[in-house]
Amino acid sequence: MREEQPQGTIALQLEQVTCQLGGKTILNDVSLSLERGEIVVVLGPSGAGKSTLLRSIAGFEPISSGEIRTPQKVLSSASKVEPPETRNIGVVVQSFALFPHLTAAQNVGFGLPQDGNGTVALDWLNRVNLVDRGQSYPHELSGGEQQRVALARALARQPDIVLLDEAFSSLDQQLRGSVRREAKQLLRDAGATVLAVTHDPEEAMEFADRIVVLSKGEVISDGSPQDLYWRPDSPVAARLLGEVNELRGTVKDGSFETDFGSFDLPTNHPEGASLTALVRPTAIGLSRATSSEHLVSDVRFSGGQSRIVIASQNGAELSVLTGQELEVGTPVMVEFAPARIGWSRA
Amino acid sequence: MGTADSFTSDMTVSRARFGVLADPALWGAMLAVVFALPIAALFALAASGDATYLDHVASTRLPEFARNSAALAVLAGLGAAIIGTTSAWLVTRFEFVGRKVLSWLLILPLAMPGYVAAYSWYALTSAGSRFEAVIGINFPTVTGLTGAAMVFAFTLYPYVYLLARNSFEAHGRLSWDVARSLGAGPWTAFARVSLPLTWPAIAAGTALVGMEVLADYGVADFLGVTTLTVGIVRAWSSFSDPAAAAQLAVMLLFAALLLLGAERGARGRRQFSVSGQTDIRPVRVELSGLPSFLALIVCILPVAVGLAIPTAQLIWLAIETQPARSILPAIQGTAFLAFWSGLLAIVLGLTAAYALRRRNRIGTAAVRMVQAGYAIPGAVAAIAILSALALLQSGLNQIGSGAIPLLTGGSILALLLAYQTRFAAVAILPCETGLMKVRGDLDEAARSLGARPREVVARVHVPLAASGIATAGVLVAIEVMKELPATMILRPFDLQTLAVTAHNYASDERLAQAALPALVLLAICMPATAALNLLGGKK
Repeated sequence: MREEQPQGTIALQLEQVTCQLGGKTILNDVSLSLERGEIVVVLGPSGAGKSTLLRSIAGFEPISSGEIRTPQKVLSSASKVEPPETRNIGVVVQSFALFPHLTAAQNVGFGLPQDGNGTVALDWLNRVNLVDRGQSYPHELSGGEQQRVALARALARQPDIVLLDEAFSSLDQQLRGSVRREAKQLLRDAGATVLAVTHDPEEAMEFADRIVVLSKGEVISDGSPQDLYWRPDSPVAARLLGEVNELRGTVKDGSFETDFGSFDLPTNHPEGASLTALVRPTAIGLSRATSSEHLVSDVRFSGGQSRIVIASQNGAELSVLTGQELEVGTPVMVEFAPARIGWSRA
Repeated sequence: MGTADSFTSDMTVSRARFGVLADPALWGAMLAVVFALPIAALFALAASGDATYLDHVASTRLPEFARNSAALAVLAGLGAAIIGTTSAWLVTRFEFVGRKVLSWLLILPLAMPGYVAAYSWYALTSAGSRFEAVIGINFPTVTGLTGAAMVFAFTLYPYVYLLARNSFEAHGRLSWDVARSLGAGPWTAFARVSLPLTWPAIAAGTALVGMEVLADYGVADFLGVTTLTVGIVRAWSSFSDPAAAAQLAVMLLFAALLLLGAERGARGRRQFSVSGQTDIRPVRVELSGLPSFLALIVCILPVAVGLAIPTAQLIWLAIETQPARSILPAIQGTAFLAFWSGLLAIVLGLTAAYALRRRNRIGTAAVRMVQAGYAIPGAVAAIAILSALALLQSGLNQIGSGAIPLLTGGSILALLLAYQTRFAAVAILPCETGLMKVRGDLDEAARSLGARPREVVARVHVPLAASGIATAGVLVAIEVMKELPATMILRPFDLQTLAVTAHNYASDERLAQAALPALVLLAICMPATAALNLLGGKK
């Protein structure tokens, strides 16, 4: 977050990083780059290697092959590991890891040896609205306050990169959203380059400029939250972000044939190819029909929206979220929004 | 005690890169090996010596040594188990006048060195003592096997008391209440539920008592019980036969290790038996009238016999006796040894704790080996150091001629080494516990904030583990002050300690002269023990 450097340059680059721990391959050929000031969220199921990715960037785990580098220097390679203390990478972890024997102000000032009278630390406490809690010890702070101290502590050193490892997961659901929004604003104001790890899709979509999906140690998707949500390119990535209908079908006469009708393909596919269309329940329109092959088979009302299950003649099901009122047995027409369909080779 | 297994993966300690020479874990493993070496030397020396003396001893005194050691350990253990369990049961399950104060006072006899209590009780009950004259009743003199067992039982019962009390508290009242609801009366509930649940704790405490009894020299020698330890010291000091002393020491070591195994086994099961009831505080049954009075008497008795009466007797003796010689050199000697041992213990304990934290297999094995040293009686540790020195000397003599330094047993360095071999476990455990509180993510947070490994130690580990580190130092200092047999064997002639001075006077039947050094020793140990309670309470 050196402000004099222009936006758009690369702040961190991972090239074909492989990481093996105890004979198991945790990260496999991961390539990834972060632009200056960008907030990237790594999303993945547990055991995907998310934390190992962050730990190897922070310098806590060595890598087996590949390279992790900033524009200035190589941080990690198979032969070299720059120690964590000289990487200038800030870390905020799920447990916050506040030093229990130091006050909030002393925690923030821990990495600032030149800040003798504590003015910088105080300034950062002020930025996270905790200036009056400076003399409190971690156990005297609420979860949200601890989180803010941890964030201020990491940012106070003006790190090149900030890593957030499930940094909001230990907060309760109600608090999480507001703390997350405050944190994002703080990071934006500081111009920080951020790599965050989470298993919470809502957090990922709200927090990220770009989402990277990691599965079994490999990057399987990389894109904006909107693209990944509406136009996912893999069923695994699609499911991680929320409920999705997976419509299998084949290419016939240049269009895509499914149990719920045929529609146009955005790109060319060979005749007879098997594909899966990935469609969110909210991206499907329904209208009453006098007669149709598709009938409402189940309705679950939950306030603003109802979940409506549509059954095709040969038993395939489609889940739709809509504000419409429909009854079981009603024949309906199904309509897809072409801009909100993701494609994956089946 | 938490073990390395209780760490979860998110607490993994990252492999911090210290320079090789600055890596505390490496130092810990190396120190551990250094302190374990003398034991290896002991076996070597025992095997090398010809068995003439041992044959002689075996045909004459060995059965007696072994029988006395065993009988003393069993009698003292039984006594301590009964006293410790009863008092622990009373203070956890009943409410009576003075219960709170007593539950704390009951720990204090631990500060009373057994031999000091022995001098005192012997002086009180020997024929023609003033006590008998005043009371007008002739008590049996506290001496011999039963006398020694009594002294041990009343000074060592706190081991059982502490463990049993924790166990009674941990098991709460829930299982007791359930037993009652299933139709068991109070005594049946005690016998069928509370006692079995606490049994491992009692067994562990009793095993510790047994180990202390085996290691003792002062009480047994003074009250005329020829145990294995007494045999070792005599083989060394009267017959100057190190190989014979080493052979006896190996036997004693096996006996002690057997008890250590029993203690560890019992503890293992104890961990298993503590289940999710720990939050339930025992609800105490209110006692009044005669039962309350009886409970009070039962709990006062051990404190009186183990601590108050012998102390009062010593004070009385000291007041009316003109000291033959200044005990200042003895105080200085004791303070000197205690200080340096405490300091060494902190270094050893902390570095060993790092070796454990690193979870390197070799380092862990080395440290665990040294921890077994707690089973090594002082006399064995001393003979082991002598063995190591003797082997080293013969090695040096073979290599070179001319200016070979004469390695001597009677040196301060040898003594300090022997103390560490004996008390390493005492030093390591509190440091290990203290350092275990420092989760791995704190290391990583500090590193990511620019702290080098050395700074992480100074700015995060040491402040957080401070109470554990202090406990290690104080504990070892106390043990060293009270230690007698190792000091007797290894001390340079001009080095006096309070324990040795008191023992020498007492051996000459000059009990009145022994009173002052014994009292001074007690005056130092008592506040230190109390301080430990405070350190422990802060956790």
